Amino acid sequence: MYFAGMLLNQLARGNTAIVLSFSDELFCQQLRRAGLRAGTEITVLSRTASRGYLLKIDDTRIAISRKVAADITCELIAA
Amino acid sequence: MCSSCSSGATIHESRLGSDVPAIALVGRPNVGKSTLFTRLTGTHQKMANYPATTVEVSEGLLEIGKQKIRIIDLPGTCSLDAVSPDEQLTTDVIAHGNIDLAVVLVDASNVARCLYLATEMRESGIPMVVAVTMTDLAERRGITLDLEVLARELMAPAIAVTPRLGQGIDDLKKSLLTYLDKNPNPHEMPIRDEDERLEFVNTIIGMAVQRKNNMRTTSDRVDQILTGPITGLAFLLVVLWGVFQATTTLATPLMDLIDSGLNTFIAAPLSAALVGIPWLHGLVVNGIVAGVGTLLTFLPVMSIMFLILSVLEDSGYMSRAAVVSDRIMRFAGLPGRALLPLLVGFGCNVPAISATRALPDARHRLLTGLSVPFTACSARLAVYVFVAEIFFKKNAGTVIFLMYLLSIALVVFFALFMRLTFVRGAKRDPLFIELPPYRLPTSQYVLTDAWIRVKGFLREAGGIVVTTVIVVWFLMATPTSSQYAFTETPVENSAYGAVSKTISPIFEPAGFADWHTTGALVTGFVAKEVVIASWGQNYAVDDVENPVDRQRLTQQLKNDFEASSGGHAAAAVIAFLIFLTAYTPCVATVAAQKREFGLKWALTGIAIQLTLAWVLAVVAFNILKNWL
Repeated sequence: MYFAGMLLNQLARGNTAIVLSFSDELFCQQLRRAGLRAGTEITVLSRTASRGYLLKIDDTRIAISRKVAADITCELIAA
Repeated sequence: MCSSCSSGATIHESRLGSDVPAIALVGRPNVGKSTLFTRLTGTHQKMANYPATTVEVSEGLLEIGKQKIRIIDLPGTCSLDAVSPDEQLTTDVIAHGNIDLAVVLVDASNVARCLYLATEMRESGIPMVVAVTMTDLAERRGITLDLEVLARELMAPAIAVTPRLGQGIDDLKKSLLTYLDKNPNPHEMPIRDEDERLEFVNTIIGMAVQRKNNMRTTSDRVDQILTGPITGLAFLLVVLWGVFQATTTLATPLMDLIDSGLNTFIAAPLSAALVGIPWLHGLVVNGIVAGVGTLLTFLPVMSIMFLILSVLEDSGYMSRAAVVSDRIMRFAGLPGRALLPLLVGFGCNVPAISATRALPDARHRLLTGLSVPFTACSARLAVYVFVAEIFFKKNAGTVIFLMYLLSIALVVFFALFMRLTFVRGAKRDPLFIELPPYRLPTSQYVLTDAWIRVKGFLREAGGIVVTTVIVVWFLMATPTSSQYAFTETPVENSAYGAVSKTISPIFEPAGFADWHTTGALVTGFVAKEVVIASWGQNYAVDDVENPVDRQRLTQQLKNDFEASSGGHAAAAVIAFLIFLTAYTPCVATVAAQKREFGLKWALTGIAIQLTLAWVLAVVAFNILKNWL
């Protein structure tokens, strides 16, 4: 499967994707510091109670809200 | 980042300021910094708010032989480019503090996230050694870190430590001693821009880190349950229920035990010994012993709260709880972690103020800490029940329920109001939390951490609580006419009675301008538990538990509320209950606020609470008197 330029909140559990860009500069710095930058491979581990996502980035686990997820464009590489 | 949040603090401005060499612990949140700090310093540590900040920094003393070293546990940061007051403090201390050596912690199970800061630190030119933590966790996850490669690339010594288990601590101590005299970084590292630094980090990872697998772990499966939409919320409710039970049901018998122990073994013998000297008897038994007793009765609830906080933080669950409660707290503009202190506040406000430490952002800690006094604690419930049963017999339950609704509404609106006025900049970013790995809390860390916090509470809150109790006793013992002797005056003719009568007219627009009730509110400032007993004292009722005495008290209260409200007793009682809900809960809460946020914010809190309580009571009375 291959889809280009989808938003992170369109990914399903278990999907792995490559981050392409962020639309909101506000979070850009925070995301980069947490290792989430263009070219990073992320896997959606699960949905959270706050209607967000639990992501796996290398050995890091990050919880983000839907709003943050909607700011991240990525490219699906494995479903 | 606002300029006022920048501390510009130097290590010499700290409370331990001296010529003893200073070593700073620097690292991302959740890399084991506090555990290492506790391992190095034991209980020889204290918290200090740095000048011009509400950010708390732990400082401690490490003794290696005759050498004394100050250890400073700086707030966790991801980078020296700060985005919060906590991070700014770390950046300022690195930039301006006279640090002799920095220990930069790198989590072996998550090296990629730690090396950016380590590289920045190395570029800063401050002498540094690298302490590689979580090696046990990395091993379990199949991650191998080559320390030699790491040390070579960072051009700094790298030592493996597992603070939780005490492994590698002696090696680290020896290195610290060595590198205080000898430069650990003889070669300068070139300063890179952000992209170059990220590239450099990736290069180190490629050379130094090997992974056997990168699959979904047990921790991920646990996370799916503990942060999941239904299971996560259910588990959080169970945890919160447990915390609430522990700080109320479990703590209450212990508090009673301390209370009765003090009465039996200290107050009673002293009372018997001093019976011939009334003023000394009053000062010692009703002043000092009562004051110390009030303070000590908080000991169980504070100890339990601090133990729970340490366990929740050390286990890694606190971050998961923040994820789950994030949506719930959104309506108050507070982060998810604020839920715990606010819920604990419904049991007792004092440990709830301390529980705000779970919030990583100083502005959110302040905002939550100032909102906590509006949560209706269990002591206020006793007064609600007493008053509601007298005046609203059939609808007592509804009235009490409405007071709880009011309490929740006050917390929400107060937090929103403060964000727009006094605590600007406490914006609520969308959820973005890095989850630390799950760990089994170590008893040494949990007990040491809890003990240090309890000790700090007793030391800093003790003076305020004991002094206030003595002042109230003194006012009650001092006669306003020569007709009575000191300590033998009826309440009405005491300085306390005079103060109550002076304050009383303030409540005329609220319908309860009666000195008996005003006096009860004054003593209610010491503790809400004493409001009912204070009414009894003011009406000269011997025992409010005795049915006959209670009936007399009830009738007098009815008469006085009726008289002071011009025939609208029900409206005045509701106004009184609203005032009781919104005004300052007790002196111990104020003391806890002073400890956490400083005197200025504690006094600001009192001023806002009293003003808001009075305005709400007046508005409620004037509206309700048309209907009730």
